[in-house]
Amino acid sequence: MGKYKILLKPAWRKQRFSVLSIFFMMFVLSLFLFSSVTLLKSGKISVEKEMERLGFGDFTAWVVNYPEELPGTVARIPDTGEVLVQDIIFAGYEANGKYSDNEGQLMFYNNQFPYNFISEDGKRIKGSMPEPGTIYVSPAMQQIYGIKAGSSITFELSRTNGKKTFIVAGFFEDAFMGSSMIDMKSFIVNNKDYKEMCSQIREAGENNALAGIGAMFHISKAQESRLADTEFYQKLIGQTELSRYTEFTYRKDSIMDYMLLLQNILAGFLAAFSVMLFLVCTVITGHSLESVIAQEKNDMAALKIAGLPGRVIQRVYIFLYGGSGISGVAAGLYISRFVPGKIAKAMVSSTGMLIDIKVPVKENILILTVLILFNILVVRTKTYRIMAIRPIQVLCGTEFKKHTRTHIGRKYLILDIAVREVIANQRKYIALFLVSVLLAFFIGIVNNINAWTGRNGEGLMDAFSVAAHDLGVQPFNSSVPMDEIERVINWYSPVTDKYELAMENVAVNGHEYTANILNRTELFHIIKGEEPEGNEILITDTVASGLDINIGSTVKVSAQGRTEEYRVSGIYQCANGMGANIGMTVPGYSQIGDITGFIWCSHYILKDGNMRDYAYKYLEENYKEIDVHTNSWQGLGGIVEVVHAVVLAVYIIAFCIILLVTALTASKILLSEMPDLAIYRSLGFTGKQLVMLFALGFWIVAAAGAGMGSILQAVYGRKILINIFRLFGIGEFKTEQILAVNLIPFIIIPLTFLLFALIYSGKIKSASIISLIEQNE
Amino acid sequence: MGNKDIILSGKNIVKDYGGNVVLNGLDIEIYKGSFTVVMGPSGSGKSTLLHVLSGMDSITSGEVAYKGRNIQGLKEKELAQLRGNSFGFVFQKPHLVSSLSLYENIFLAGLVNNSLTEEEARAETERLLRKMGISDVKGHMPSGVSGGEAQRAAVARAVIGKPEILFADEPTGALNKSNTREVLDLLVGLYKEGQDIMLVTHDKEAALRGNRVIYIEDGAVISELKLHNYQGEDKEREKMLSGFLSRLNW
Amino acid sequence: MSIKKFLLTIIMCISVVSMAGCGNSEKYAEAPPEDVVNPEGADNNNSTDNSTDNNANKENSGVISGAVTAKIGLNDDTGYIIDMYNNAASETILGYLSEEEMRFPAYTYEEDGGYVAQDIRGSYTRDGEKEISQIKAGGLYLFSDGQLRLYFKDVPDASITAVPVGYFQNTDNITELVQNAYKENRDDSWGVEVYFLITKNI
Repeated sequence: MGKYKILLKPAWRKQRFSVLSIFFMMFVLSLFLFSSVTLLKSGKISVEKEMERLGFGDFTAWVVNYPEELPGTVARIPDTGEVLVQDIIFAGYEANGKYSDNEGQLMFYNNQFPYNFISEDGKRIKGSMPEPGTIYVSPAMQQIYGIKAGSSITFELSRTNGKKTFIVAGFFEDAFMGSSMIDMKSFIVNNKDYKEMCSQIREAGENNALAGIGAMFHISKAQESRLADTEFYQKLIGQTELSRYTEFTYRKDSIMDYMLLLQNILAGFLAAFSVMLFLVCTVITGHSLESVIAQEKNDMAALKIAGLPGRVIQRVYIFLYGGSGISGVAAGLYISRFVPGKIAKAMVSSTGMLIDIKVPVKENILILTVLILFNILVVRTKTYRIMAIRPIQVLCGTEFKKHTRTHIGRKYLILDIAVREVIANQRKYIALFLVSVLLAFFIGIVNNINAWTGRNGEGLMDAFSVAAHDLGVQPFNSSVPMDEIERVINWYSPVTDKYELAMENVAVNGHEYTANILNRTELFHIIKGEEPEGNEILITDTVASGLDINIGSTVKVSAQGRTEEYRVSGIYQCANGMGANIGMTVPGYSQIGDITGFIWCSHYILKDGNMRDYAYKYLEENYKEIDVHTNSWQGLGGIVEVVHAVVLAVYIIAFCIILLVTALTASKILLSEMPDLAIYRSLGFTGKQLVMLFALGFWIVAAAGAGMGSILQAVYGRKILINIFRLFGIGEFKTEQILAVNLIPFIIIPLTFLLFALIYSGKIKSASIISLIEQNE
Repeated sequence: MGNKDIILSGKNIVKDYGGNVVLNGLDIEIYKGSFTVVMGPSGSGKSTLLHVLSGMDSITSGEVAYKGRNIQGLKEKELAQLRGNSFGFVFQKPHLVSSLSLYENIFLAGLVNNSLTEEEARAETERLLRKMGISDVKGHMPSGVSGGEAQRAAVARAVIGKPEILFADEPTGALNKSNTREVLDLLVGLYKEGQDIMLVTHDKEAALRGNRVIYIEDGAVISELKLHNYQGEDKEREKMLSGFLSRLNW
Repeated sequence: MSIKKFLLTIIMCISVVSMAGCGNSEKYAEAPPEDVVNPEGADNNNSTDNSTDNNANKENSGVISGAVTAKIGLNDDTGYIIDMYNNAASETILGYLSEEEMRFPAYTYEEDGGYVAQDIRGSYTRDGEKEISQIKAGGLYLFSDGQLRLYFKDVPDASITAVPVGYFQNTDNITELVQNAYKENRDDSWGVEVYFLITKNI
């Protein structure tokens, strides 16, 4: 034991920076990894549990004006387990001076659906019947409308004095529509208020009512049912009149995906980032050990001569490096108990839910085992070289360097020598190279996401729209002066393109989808196949996999009681409704739907897209009988903010990694290069030139690594992202700034390495030439 | 021995390493056309003297002047120019750049020197390689040649820029007998071609090559011996040096 | 500036640009002037930039010959050519049509008035609105409330104010054709009186 103590002390003294750096990196990566897994898992469990607690089923259908016997009919289907009916009022509303794009759904509090409320200090409290005139809203309303307790929300019930204003009493947990990703929001009101509103709507009559009375049918599949969800739903559609009264239907999975989208994006990013950090850490550990063994081999040889077995020396290094890695992981695991809770709390306005943090024991054990085993494997493999050190060979030996030929001339002397030094010492620079590859690859991918997202979320908007546009105007009747509206839009910015789009509910082979009917089919974002003609449709990846159909398949599309056969001409991308939609031509839709109704929305592309908000505001304020919207939605800002914050975080962390890697590798490389640097100095090179020579070496290696990383990113990055984006229903991935996306990491990474290497190697300047020479003696 | 033009001088040089006074008010003059040998026991300060005279190390007090110009006040860049253009160095070990071939080691020194064009540096490298007898190994890396070959390359590197003074610090200290002789003969050959040399050594055979032997002890010049130029083995010369050294209890 | 400061500046600049995106020129949110919202006199041009196509097909007379083919009812395969007037109202209508056959429902059938009609969406400039006292069968008129009428009978003593948008080239059997289509469609579940299958030819 004594010998270990004696060996450990000096080894720690010399290696403490490397050892502590590895501890730090392993700590950060394990913290990220454990936290992200905890967040992902806890989020899913919390939402699922809350939905189950409230009795929500496998499907939820939003129905209006339904006959009383409909729930019973649905319940009598043998595969149906339970049908819970939750009464709702659909009504447009104004909150904090902003009109909602979508209708809100008002519910009254009852024991059948015992929603939880959120206290002022962010804790869960048992819900109760709100006071008359007050309302409980989703926490996401804070983010979307800036709502807080005491704010007022006004619902439009009928054209004649049919407004009802509520005072916000607080927030409730909405596992169903709470996420800021979901535009449609739920509200809980007093039973009496609810009944009054229903009467008001009924009194207003069909023509005068602005709000609607309906219900959510929470339909569960019978436990003994062997039908798949889709088959079960098809059966419901086929054997009941449900689809006739249904506005839209969502599967439990889709709702959960929506609810946790933002949190999952963040957790997914954290997980991906920790994997990258893990690779960096592995490279650095390997490099540090290699350099240490190279530097210390004389001492190690001397120890061996003194009779110390190689195994003992190896154990000392395994203890130091393996120990620091494992303690880093352990510390990360411990702290990860507290972090996800804070993140979940901070994201309550995005998720609309308080996530109960449950540490996923199985997953954590698995991660812990993988991290520890891998760390030990790397340390053991690298320290195995200690066993191979032969005492005499080392003490008498000289370092053999590969003979390399590169040009050396006066014009770019420093650069030429830097290139030669790098090539001759490539082994020493390999860690730096690999880290640059990883960073460039990762930053490139993040840049890609950022470029695609756009400054204002344009990429997301395009992904969730049928076709690009700046403004959409849908007239509700023929008295709307569309010519005047177009003059106004043109005044703000010339309209460069215009098309018409209708979004109607259809059933494809019995499954409810939204049909996007476009009068200019060339504008569909077609990924595969061809533009549809006549009785042809486009489907998304989601629909293709959901219905197991593909290009060339023939499907039955129904709407408004009519059904026609259509051929699938291609796959297109539109993430709306998580990709649950199809694309149709106007002539195609005219076979099953009424194309003369006020279903059409004119979409305009402006020369200066930045003017859209001004035009939007003017139209919104001055024309009442239109629906005007931009290519955006209320939850978008939150996602864009998250993406931009993630990009910023990546850059900051990348800078930290570069700083750490430079410090770790530069110290080792500098030490081994010192003899050559001393000689250069004695030949007449200035200290500044030597600093530049050394830093240029870093720049060259980092540039080569960043170049390689950027190429890999350009080749594989897109494919990786496309596969990730598909999970969110986004099938196409386009960025306009390909060059910038790849060029930025290629420029920034080597420059940062150069900068840090310049700073780090500054000590060469001040080092006495004699001490440099003497180190070499 | 040449004329009495002072090329390098040190007045009252003190070099103090944190209380350890290595040079203690030392005065010295190096003349144009001389082959100066500095001898002295271990720890006498002879290597330190070479370092401070060549501007490789600073002094605590006193003055070092090259051609009448105090080099202590020179900026880093000017000092580097001095090392690159006016001084040449040979150390105990060759200290060749490990990533450059013998040829490139010499050629690089030629490039750093401002008096040669790139082409001239190339030609001079080839000439010196021939002169040093290492043309056939010129493409080898330092790790692939013998100690003698490496040291000869180091000498060639030191003189390619035609320095005013060649500083040699125990240049044969790590060589065997035959290599030692070869390197010393090379130095003599260079001196005969007009190269001023300041050689620090504790080897009597090496000291015999010079025409002026300065003996230092405890950081100060104790004594000085003037000799005729070396013309080959000379018993009388050996006797004179032995006598000089024995008087100093060498 | 030292090398370090210079490099730091470059890195910071690139980082800031890459993260923040390029600058955005702000324009004040103003309301458009009155002459944009309510210009004096009718603005005969459609206000979008993409409305200039198909000029080649427009004849000098102000009539777009053979602009549309219409089949009357769902069971008659004969296509009837419609000439459209070269005005903003017909241009709007043409904008809604497709070069592929499209079902166009008419929910209004007036046997006495001699027309079938359907509202079309939006209210674009009704340039060239006229008071008309004589209508021939096969005439298409757009009314200020957005109703598009096809007269299938001659109305010699009419008194309407509308924009003539087009006319059937061949009106020989139009009255019977529309009447038959109306009869055939009596059981339509949506309440459509007459269907037209319309194809834009230009």
